[in-house]
Amino acid sequence: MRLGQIVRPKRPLNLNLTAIACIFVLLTYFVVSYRWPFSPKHGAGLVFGVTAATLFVFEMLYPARRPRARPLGTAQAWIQAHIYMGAIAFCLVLAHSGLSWPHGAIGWLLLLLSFWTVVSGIVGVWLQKFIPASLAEGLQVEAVYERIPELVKQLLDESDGLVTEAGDVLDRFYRNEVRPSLSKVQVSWAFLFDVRGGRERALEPFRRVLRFVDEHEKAIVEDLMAIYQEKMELDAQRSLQGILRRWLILHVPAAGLLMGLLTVHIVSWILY
Amino acid sequence: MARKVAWGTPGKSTRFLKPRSARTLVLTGLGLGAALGAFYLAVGVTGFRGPIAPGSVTFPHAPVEARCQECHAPRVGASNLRCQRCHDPSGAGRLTHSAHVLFGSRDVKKAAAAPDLACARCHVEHRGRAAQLAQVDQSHCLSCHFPSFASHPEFAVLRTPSRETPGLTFTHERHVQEYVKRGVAAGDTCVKCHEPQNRDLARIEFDRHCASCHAEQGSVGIVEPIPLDDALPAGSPSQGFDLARGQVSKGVVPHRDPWVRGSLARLRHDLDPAGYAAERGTLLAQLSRLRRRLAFANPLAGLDPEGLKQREEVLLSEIKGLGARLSAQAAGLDPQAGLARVAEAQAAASGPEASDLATSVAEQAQSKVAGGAPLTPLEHEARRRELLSALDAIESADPELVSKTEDLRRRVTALVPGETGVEMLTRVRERRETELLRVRDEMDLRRGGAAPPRSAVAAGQQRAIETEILATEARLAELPEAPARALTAEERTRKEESVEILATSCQKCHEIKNAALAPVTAARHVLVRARFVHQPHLLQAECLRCHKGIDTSKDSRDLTLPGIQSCRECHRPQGASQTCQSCHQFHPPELP
Repeated sequence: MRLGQIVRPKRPLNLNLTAIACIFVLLTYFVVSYRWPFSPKHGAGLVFGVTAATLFVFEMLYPARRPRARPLGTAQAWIQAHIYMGAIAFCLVLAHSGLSWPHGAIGWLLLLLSFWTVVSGIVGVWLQKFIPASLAEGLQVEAVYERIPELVKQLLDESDGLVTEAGDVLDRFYRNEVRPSLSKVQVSWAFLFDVRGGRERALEPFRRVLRFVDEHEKAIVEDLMAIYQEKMELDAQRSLQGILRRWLILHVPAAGLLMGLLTVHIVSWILY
Repeated sequence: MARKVAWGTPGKSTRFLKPRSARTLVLTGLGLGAALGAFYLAVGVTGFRGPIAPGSVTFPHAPVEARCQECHAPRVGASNLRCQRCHDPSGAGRLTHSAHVLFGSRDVKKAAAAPDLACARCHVEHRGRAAQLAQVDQSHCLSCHFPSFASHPEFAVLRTPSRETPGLTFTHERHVQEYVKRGVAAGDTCVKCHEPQNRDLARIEFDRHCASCHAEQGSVGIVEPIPLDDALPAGSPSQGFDLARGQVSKGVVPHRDPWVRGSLARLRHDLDPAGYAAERGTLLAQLSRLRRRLAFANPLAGLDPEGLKQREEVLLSEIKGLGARLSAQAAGLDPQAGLARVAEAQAAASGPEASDLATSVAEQAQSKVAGGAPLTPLEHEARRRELLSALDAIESADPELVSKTEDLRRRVTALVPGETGVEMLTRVRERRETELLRVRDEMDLRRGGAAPPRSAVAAGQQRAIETEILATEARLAELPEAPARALTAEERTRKEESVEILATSCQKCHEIKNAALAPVTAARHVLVRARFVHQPHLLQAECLRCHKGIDTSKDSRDLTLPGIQSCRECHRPQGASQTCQSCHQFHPPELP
């Protein structure tokens, strides 16, 4: 899969509008701070902050809104809004802080959580574009995430059945080297970089054992190789689909923490 | 046939598969956020507010870092009143925006109309221990003033050059030549008198810089005989006095001789009673104001709750009184009512002179009603002098009225040209209301358990006020109270001659008008709204580079001050600093 395909936006117009909005925010900041004293608590600084907070609240409502997207637009429109408004919100946070480092713990936490939430969201977008394409292009097997352990078990049963009539050499090879790998789903980050990665190396022992078995057993070994490949594809499916589902752990709790801190920030601003 | 990996989903599931919902994750995230918020709330409530603060405060504020209420008021933010609690404990109001406008423009009306500005707008706290709170972002100045140093206007003193004298007849040329004659290099003559001191130049003092030539034997001259009546009682011959034929003379006259100065003051009282009374009245009013400030400079921190309550009551009573006066003024300001009273006076006038005066007053009043023109500064000064003389006379006639005259004197001197009595009273009432707010804020803080601030700053301000009071009293002592009497033409001529004789030695250098020595303002800083320090400039250039031609100046009024363009030669981008704070300060100095 080419890099261009990964980074290409689904709706270029939205990306362009977001870029224009971010440039507008930063330009406004520069003009205002050049012409007038800049303060996050007053004037444009306050507007930046209030707008950013409003956008973050809008973003946080996304999970509740998405299943009920219609009649207010489509789910795709909402996810697009979620992505690009998050980017604009972070830009507003930067402008609100006067493009300077915070001085207190809460300021740092707010900035870092905003950054983390937005960056993890963008990583999620990339994963959602990259992983499905990678799975479709690189693998033959398609499997529902939740069914993968069941399918692996079926493969194990099938392979166990194949070796019932095998000789000592093959049986020992199967029990020691093949079965442990087939018995459980093996997830790995390596699939993110190469969905077919490690396959040739994993099949090498099968090729080696072919030299020591008779013709009848060679057919069994070849079947075992096919089962092993299928198992590896299921591992890849499990790994990548797992990443696709679990990246939210990086995104959502941070967003929740951001909401909590944002509330503290707003309350302390009102009180103090 | 060997087994192949099949495309697509392998087989169907025998059980129902429910994808995991993201709701749990979202709820967990929100729960974490709520927990974090609750944690912050808890630490805030328990008084451990470090984590909630947007940053550490500066070193001087570090002792109060944990006590937010020392600076912050609920729903107000960083409160000006709480800044002033420590930084302006006497409530002089010099840290306000209006004080800045008044310092810059000398326009009371403009200052009164200046919007309030929060201290925290410019002095941004919570930027770390080492932050410089006094260092203010340049853009704060530029938002009201010119946009850059390149567009800095010419110095006011050069834009409208005044030929105001420094109170001395003095030529630089003569003094430079004298030093050159003594072998001092021409370039070094300046620092013989203008001695470097504390990064700037020391004040010129007679004893230090002038006496060696102008009072070689300890005397600046002699006083020829004058009538005994025109002078203070003479001392003994050992003090240089000589009494003969109803006249007194003095052979030894030291600089600032008290007998000469006292005698001149007495003669001035007779020759220019209005000027004398005005100066004395102004000094008395200033003294009264300073004493009031000293009484109130006892910082609120030093008062117990009972004292605060009493202060609140006093201020409430003052505000009530000012309100009553304002109401009375408003009623009295009805032009038609005023004209009716003038008409009554006209009708009641018995003699032709009185009738003419009443008619003139009526015409003036009519013109004021029609045009509404305020008094010119000269008219204002004349009226002020008249009123102060009248108050002086009243006080002499009935000493029991001192408290009343003191208050009236304060009010008369508080008036500025172009400002009506109502405006002045409104201004004073606003000030009292601010003081009341401070008292109430202090009471709130005490109730909240806040400790009184340290009194170090207050003590400094008190000392400054006390010093000013002593100086004012010393000046007042030279203007003793005495009943003014009308002089015949002969007496006037004689007294004028006596002034000439008494001041002969003084007039060698000093200017004298109406028997009063002009205040000496030699070697003063003429850039009154800027802070110019000579030393760093002297490291860069010789005196004559900026003060071109001062060595040949024959007139004490010559400023020989270069314009702003000469500053720009060094204060430029990639050169010396161009910030406003390099030369200016926002807050006026103490006791403006």
